Amino acid sequence: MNERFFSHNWETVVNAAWQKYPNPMNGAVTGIDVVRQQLDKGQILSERVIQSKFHIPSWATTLTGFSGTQYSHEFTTIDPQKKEMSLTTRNLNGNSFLRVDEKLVYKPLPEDPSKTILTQEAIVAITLPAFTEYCEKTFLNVYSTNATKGRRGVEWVIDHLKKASEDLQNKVSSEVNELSEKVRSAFNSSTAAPQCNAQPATTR
Amino acid sequence: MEDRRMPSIFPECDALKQNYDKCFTEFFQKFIAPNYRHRYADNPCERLHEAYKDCVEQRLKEKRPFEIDLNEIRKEYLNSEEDKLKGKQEGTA
Repeated sequence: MNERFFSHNWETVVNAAWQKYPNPMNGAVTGIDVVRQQLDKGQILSERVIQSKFHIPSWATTLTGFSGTQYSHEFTTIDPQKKEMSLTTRNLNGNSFLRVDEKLVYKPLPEDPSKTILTQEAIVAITLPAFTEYCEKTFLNVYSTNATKGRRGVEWVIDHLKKASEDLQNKVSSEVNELSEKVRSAFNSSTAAPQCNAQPATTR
Repeated sequence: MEDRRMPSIFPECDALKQNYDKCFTEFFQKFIAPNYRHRYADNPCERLHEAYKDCVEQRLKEKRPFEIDLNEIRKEYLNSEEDKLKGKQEGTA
């Protein structure tokens, strides 16, 4: 089990993790489809199929039949009341010789809820005896690199979204300023009791 | 932000996906906010998802890009979640 921290609150991290792809750190992901998405007792339950493309040596293709286009299934639950997002991922190809179950959980850090903790665990099952050791080593290597890439990917998305929302906030606040200017000048030109009927647009 | 988009696995379903994603991402942001009435929420994007999902499921059936049946995974996943719940109820978890 592996723990990582984000110095952002749960909502920020989960919003980024939800729209994690595409990001420059995980370029292998080439397509995603949402096969199920529903609300259940205040939670979002979601199932996605993720397509990734890898360059793998041709001998490996011969050996395993695995072409380098990989599909995985991701089951996500988001519980905003408990503040927990969990993702369980399994590979959909090559299961006859390799099965990887990965689980990610995002929760607020108990001692500091302005931060978020990500726990990652993976269960790897290899059923190709002669290559078990080799595969395991290679895989674990790739896995730990990917785990780091995954977290960096989420961080990249957080920054990206933050910039977009800052732009939006600047825009909204300049609109609000403009609006209050108008209201003020309307009041100044009016001798009647100030009464503002114009509802400012909600600044969500 | 608009330039960062994830395509569908099937180009034929991409337009449906983009419509749906736009709707659900907006809803998602409201939904995860602490003061949202989570338990009473309806998915406002359900219809868009139906159309999009039909497209994807049809392509998955035709092209069979992987050998695993999604229903099997679903069953296994739900069973293990139920086991956990049972464990909790029996106080063994």
